[in-house]
Amino acid sequence: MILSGHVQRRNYPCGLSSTEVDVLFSRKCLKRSGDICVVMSDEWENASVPDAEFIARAKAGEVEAFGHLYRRYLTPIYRYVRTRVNTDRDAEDLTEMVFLKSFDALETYQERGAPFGAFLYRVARNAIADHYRSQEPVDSLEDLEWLGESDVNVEKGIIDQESVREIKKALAGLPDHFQEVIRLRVLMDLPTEQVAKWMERKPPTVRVLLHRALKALRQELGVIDEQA
Amino acid sequence: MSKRSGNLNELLDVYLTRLQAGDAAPDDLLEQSSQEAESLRPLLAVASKARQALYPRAPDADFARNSELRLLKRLRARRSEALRAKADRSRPRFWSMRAVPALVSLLLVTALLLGMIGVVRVSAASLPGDGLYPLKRGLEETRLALTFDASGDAQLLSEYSDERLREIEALTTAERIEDINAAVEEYVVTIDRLVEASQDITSTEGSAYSEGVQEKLGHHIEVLQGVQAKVPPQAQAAIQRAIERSLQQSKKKLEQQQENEEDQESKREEQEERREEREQERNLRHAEQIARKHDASPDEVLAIFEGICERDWKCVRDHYRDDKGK
Repeated sequence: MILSGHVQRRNYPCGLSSTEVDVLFSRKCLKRSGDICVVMSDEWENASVPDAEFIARAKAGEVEAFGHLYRRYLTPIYRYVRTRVNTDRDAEDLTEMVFLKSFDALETYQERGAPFGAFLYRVARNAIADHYRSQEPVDSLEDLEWLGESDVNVEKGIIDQESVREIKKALAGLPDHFQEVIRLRVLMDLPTEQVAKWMERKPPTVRVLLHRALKALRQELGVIDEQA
Repeated sequence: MSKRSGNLNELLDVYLTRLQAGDAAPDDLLEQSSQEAESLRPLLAVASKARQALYPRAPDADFARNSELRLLKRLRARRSEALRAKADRSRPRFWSMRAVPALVSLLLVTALLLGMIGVVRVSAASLPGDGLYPLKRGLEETRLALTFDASGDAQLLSEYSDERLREIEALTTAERIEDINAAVEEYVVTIDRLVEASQDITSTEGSAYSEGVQEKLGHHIEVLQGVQAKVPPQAQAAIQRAIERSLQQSKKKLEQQQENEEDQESKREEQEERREEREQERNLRHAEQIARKHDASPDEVLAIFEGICERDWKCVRDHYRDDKGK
C-alpha cells in the first residue's frame, strides 16, 4: 500500500516521532530517497493510534492489537537489550521474552503517567537481570571478547575493536545509573524527555546525571589509557 | 546546583542532540559557544566516541518479521486455551439442570403432605423393577437438586453409587436376573455422574476426593467380580459391562488427577515466578534508593544485600550509615 505522505528522516514533519520513524525504517516500510521517504505500509495508518487504544484492545483479547504495539516498540526495546547483552542472538531471545512477559503482565499495566515504552523498558531490565543471574559470573576481560563482534562501526572500519573493548570496559566500570543514562541518551539517541520517563526521573535530573556520567566515563577511559 | 552548572547541563543536552542529528562534529559545534567550550568539548568527544563504538543497530528485518509471527502464534494459542478453559467452566453441568428434579420435588412435597411418608420409607429398600423404585430414584434426584455445590453433589452421588452396587448384589441374591440389566444401567449412569461431579471439585479438597473416588471404584470392581462369578451366563455380560465402565472411569479419574496435579504445579511455578519478579523489582528499587542516597552503585548495594546482610534491608541501611559515620 502506497500512501501519500513524505517523511523527512531528521525532522519528522508528518507528526511521527523519531521512534515511529525508526520502526518504519527498520521494517522497510519507508522508501528512501535521500532524506525524503514515502510510506509504503499500513503502519502509516496506525502511527497515529495511541498506545492506550491498542492496550485496551489487547487486554480485551485482541492479539493483533498487541502485534501493533510489538511493531511500534520492537526497535527501541531490541536496541536497549542489545546494549546490555553479548550477542545479537541473546538480544533477539531476550527481546521476544520481554514482549511475551509484557503480554502476560498487561492486565497489571495502567497508564498513569508512565508510558507503555517505560513499562516495556522495566520488563526488559528485569529480563536482563534474570538472564545474567542465570549465567556464570563474568569476571575477567577474556569474557568480554565478544564485545566488538557485531558492532556495526567495527564492521565498517570506522572504529577499531580495541577501542570498542576499552569503551565497553570503561562503561561497565561506572555506577549502574550512569551506565543507564549513557545507554539511553547517548547510545540509543533517545530524547531527554523519553529517557526521563523510562528512568522515572525528571528531565533536569537526567541532564545532571548525563553530565556526571560522561565525566565519569571520560575519567574511567583516562584511567584505562593510563593503565594501558 | 549553580546557575552555571545548570546551563552547562542544558548546553550539553542541546549539543548532544545536534551531534546525534549529524549537524556537525563536536569541535565545530563548540566554536559557537567558546565560553563553555573548554568544559563541554571533552564530554561531547567522549559521547561521540562511545556512540561510534557502541551504537546498537536496529533488529534484523528477518528476525523482526519471524519473531512477530512466532509471538502472535504463541499469544493466539494462549488465547484459545484461555477461551476453551472459560467455555469448559461455563458448560452447563447436570446439577445445573434442575428444572425436572424441581418438578419431582414439588410432586414429592405434595405426596408427603398426603401422608405418604411410610410409602417413601418402604421405597428406600426397593430394587430396579419394583413399583416403588421410581419414587426412590425421584427422592434421590430431589436431594441432589437441593445441594448447592459440586462437593455436595459428589458426596451424594458417591452414596448413590454404593446403593446401585448394593441393588445389583440384592438382585443377584434374589435371582432376579431379568432386572440386572436395568440395575447395571443405573449403576453405569451413576458412576459416570460421580466422576464428572468429582472433576469439578477443585483445590486440595478436590485432590483428596479424587483419590477417594478411585478407591471406591476399585472396591466396586472387586464386588462386581464377586457378583459376576455368582450370576448365570446371561447376566454375566451385563456385570462385565459394569466392571469395564468402572475400570474405564477409574483410569479417567487417574488421568484427571494427574492433569490437575500438573496444572496446579504449573500454576504454583507461575505464581512463584511472578512473586520472584516482584521481589527482584522491589529489591532493585530499594537498592537504587539507597545507592542514590549514599553515592554507591545499585549493584554494589544489591551485593551487600545478598551477601553479608543476608537479604535484610535494615542491615544494608545500617551498613551505609555506619560507613558514613566512619
